[in-house]
Amino acid sequence: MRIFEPHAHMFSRVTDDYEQMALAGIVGVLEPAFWLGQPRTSVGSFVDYFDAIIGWERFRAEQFGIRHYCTLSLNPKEANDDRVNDGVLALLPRYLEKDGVLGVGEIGFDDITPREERYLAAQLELARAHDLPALVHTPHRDKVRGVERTLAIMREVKFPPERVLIDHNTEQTVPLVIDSGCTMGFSIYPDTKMDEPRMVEILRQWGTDRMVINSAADWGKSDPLKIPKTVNLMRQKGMAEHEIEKVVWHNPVSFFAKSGRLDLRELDTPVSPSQLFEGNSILRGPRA
Amino acid sequence: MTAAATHTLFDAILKKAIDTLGAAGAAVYLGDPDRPVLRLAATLGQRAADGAPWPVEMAWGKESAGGAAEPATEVENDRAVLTVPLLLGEDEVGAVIVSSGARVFGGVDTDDLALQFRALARALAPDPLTALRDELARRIPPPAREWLEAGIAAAARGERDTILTAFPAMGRRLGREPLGSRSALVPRDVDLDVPLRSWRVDDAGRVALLCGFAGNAETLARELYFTGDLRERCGALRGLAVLGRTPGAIDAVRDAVRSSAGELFEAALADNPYAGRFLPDDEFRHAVLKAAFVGVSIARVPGVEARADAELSRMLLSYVTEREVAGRSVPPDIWPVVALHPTRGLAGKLCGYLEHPATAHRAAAAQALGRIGDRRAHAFLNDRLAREDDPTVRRLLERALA
Repeated sequence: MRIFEPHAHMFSRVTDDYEQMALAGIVGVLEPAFWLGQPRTSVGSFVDYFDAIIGWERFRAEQFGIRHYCTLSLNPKEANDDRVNDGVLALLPRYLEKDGVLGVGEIGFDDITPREERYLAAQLELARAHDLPALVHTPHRDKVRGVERTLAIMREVKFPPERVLIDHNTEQTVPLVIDSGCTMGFSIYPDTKMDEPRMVEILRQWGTDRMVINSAADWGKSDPLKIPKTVNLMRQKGMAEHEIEKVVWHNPVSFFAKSGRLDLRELDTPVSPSQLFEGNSILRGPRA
Repeated sequence: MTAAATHTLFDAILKKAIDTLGAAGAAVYLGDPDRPVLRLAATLGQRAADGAPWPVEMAWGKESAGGAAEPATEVENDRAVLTVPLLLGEDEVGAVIVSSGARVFGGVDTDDLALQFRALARALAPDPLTALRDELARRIPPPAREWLEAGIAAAARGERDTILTAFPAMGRRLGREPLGSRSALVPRDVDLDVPLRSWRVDDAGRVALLCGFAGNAETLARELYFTGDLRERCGALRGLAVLGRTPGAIDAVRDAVRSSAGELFEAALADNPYAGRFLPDDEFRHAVLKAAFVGVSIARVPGVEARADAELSRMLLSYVTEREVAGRSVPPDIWPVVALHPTRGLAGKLCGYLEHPATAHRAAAAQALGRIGDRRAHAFLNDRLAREDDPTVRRLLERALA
């Protein structure tokens, strides 16, 4: 079964992870722009970060046969940082036109401050201007309130809900989002966020429409194989194959295809780490 | 080129062919763009003793089974006819047919002639923008072509901003598959060619925009490099290959050569005359060494032979030693380059490679030994020639012995 990982910060992961992901059937990964673990002090850091996501990281993924896409944004935490917030917003129009950028994200709330509200709204406008869907991070503290404020702002600026993915949902937020028209993401993450058994239960209870799962693999203690592991549990618990495939392939792919930038035919074609054409013997290092 | 100038060129080429080979007559044939035929373009001298005319059209099997087309000798009745392809890049655009009368061509060195014929093919080539349009017309659907033409028109009006917006979108609009062309682009103002073999469709579109730009394309390409993602950067570098005329954009090449992204490195250095011309000596040497290191054939670096020196040989041979000590294979295209400034013992090492199982190694070793010119190698060259089946290797062995 092919898997599309819709939320993994591969910037912070090693090549072993790519190797494992490829073995486990992950053929596409979407990397949202986020923060780096400690504050960036200048807009230049964001330039290099964005360039790395669309450049080196995409190249690295392809060495393992995985297609790499991204969303770019000013993340919620650094929206509060006046050293960078306006500067990054000024950068985004150029970057949102790049190949492989399938949305604006992660945007949303961290501490639910007025600045965060302002930049969430501003970036929904950017998404609208560039005809891209939005990937929204929900806060890990006071999550329910964060989701409520997010939906309120989305409706205020009249951003279409079917072009919004609300991520890091829990049992408490599903009832709020389920009828909004938004796609719902769940991060299967050790110790915090969602886990496999609870996830299967949620799917059983609420169905698989507009549901996507991800590993949100990042700097922290996380596991880029959480989707395949959840797939295993789904099977064990008797979920139908086509329902499983819906959650791990069709839903995430169709959401990000709303960008108009996800070539489904390309996604169906395995990417070869060594390039494909005459006269070109590209390797990353010396031949063995 | 005017019709008169073209004819002067043909006459010169034909005369050269006849004189070099001691032939009775020769004719230039050019490939028809629409049908698999060769059409007669010019003649000099006799085709045969009986005065039979040169056919106006000949059937043309264009598909060579991989690799560059080889000159072919056929004997028809008592006449020997030598056909030497006209190559633009690795694309056969025609042929020169040489008729001996009653003489048979044997052991003839047609390599120099082939080089002359390449110059002819370049002289006849369309300008880069036309050539790119032709290549793309075969590969992209009409809506994409219209979008590109609108971009080229805007470029011709000097609209930089339109190009800056079109560059990131090129892959999405035209596709990113390999262009699949064996031809080469020939700029109007300098006699060089830029092979298209590694180009993708979006590269061709991006370079078309740059070729159509009314302002300074070199400066624009440089700017597009530094604001571009990987594919845009490759397009900018390929644009510099065709349009770069001053060292002003060499920092883009330098940046790409430092990269570990193989495709970017390749776009900067392989088949890129701009890099070959404007990289300073020390950086050039290191770039060539890196090419060997990452698996890009150094034969594809323009100027590598002209700029090769003892230091480059030392660096490349040091790399060879490193590979051999680790029990790893060595890229054969190193041999002809280091042979230009051989170190002690190189001839001996190359005699060993004459017996290598890979044709590429035997061919490269034979060519290299020919350049070194050490007579002690002749015993081994002759020994190999007696058992060698591959025609390319045989030719190089014969040349080395001559």
